[in-house]
Amino acid sequence: MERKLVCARCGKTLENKETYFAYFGHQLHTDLPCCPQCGQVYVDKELAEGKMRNTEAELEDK
Amino acid sequence: MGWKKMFGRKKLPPFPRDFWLEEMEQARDDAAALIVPPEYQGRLKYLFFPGCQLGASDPRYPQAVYQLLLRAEPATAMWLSCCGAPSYWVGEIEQYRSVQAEQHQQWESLGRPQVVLACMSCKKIIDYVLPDIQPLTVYEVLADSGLQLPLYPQLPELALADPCMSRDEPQVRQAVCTLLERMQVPYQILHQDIHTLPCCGFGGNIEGPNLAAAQAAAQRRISSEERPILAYCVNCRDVFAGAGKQSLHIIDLLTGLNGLERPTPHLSLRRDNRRLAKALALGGEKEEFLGISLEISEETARMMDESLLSADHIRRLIARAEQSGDYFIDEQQIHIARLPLCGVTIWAEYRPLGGRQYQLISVYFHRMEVEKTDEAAGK
Repeated sequence: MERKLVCARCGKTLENKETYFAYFGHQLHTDLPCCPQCGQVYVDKELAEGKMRNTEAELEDK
Repeated sequence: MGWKKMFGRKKLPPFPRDFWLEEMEQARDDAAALIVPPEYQGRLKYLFFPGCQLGASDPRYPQAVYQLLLRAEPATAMWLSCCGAPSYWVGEIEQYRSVQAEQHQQWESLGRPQVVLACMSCKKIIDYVLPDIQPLTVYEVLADSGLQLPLYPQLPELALADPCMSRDEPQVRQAVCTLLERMQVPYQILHQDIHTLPCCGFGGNIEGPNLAAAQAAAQRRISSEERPILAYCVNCRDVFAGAGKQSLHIIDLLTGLNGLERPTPHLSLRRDNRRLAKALALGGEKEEFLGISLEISEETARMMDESLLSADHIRRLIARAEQSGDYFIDEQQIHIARLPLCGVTIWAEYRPLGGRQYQLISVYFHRMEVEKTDEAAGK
């Protein structure tokens, strides 16, 4: 079951939105959960330690 | 290319480097203390400087050694701080010289007592930059004292591992050997040639940028050794213990504090240990950083060690989140928050336990900067 997260400040349930990342002069984008009101983005552990870490390593090696 | 240039050119992410500078600043700031016996104010003979890692390894070490020194010489003060080695190792030469200048000033203000060190890295740094201080080690002072020491003839034979910073310091090794002989400790020197002593892997704080290289250095040092290791550098002891080796610091023998099986202390909890070392030295209670008390499991602490995350980072994250309201919350009432920190974003999942107590459930980080979505309302 997907984890339901609420923004503590706004009381809104997070929704997937296109989100942009920047690293070492590169920009990438993907859909991530974020607060529909204040825009705070949530990055989960699996993404941070998986795809993001691999991409960071690739960009650092360039 | 040096660290500074590589950061400047964005060739290296800054996080490992800043972790060690933070460690240094913490040791020089909220974990720092100067204890001077009032009756010897202005006429001290010794100033004991344990260095930033002794109390970080075992909070009881600085005070226990200080008590020994006081027995040998009552006109002894203790100063808990850091010599500045971490800033030297990352190439922050101006910062390093500023630390050294402050230390020199403190030494002058105390009447230029004989400085007594427990760490050979401190000695190398002070000998190099402040040669007029001419520090001794605690091992030399205790070897020359008439103190009665405990006896250990029943111990298995130990392999004495000199730290790499003892290169060309045969008088320190000789003092350690004198103490061991006085305590009837069975031992053999692991690496005879004092001019080519290898490093345990701690030096230069290479653990941050290259953990594998640090671990390989430790293995090279001890892999073929079957006997338990005896060190007189606390970093060596902790590195060898972390590599699964039975390890003692000579302070354990001098004070009876620990046996052969003490595990390596968590890197992530060393700032707490320093604060406790200060509390023990001052005879007070340990203060929690930001007033936040954290429950951290063994597994989470180990993961934080590998990621160079300190419990203090988590306390900052929680304080910021709970004050601002910037966190997410799930069905189990677990809070999830982030903290931007010198080039990385740390995330923590934690459970409020009431008051300022929290249970840390999970920690992770990423280096990429996440920007808010274009569609966020009002943006």
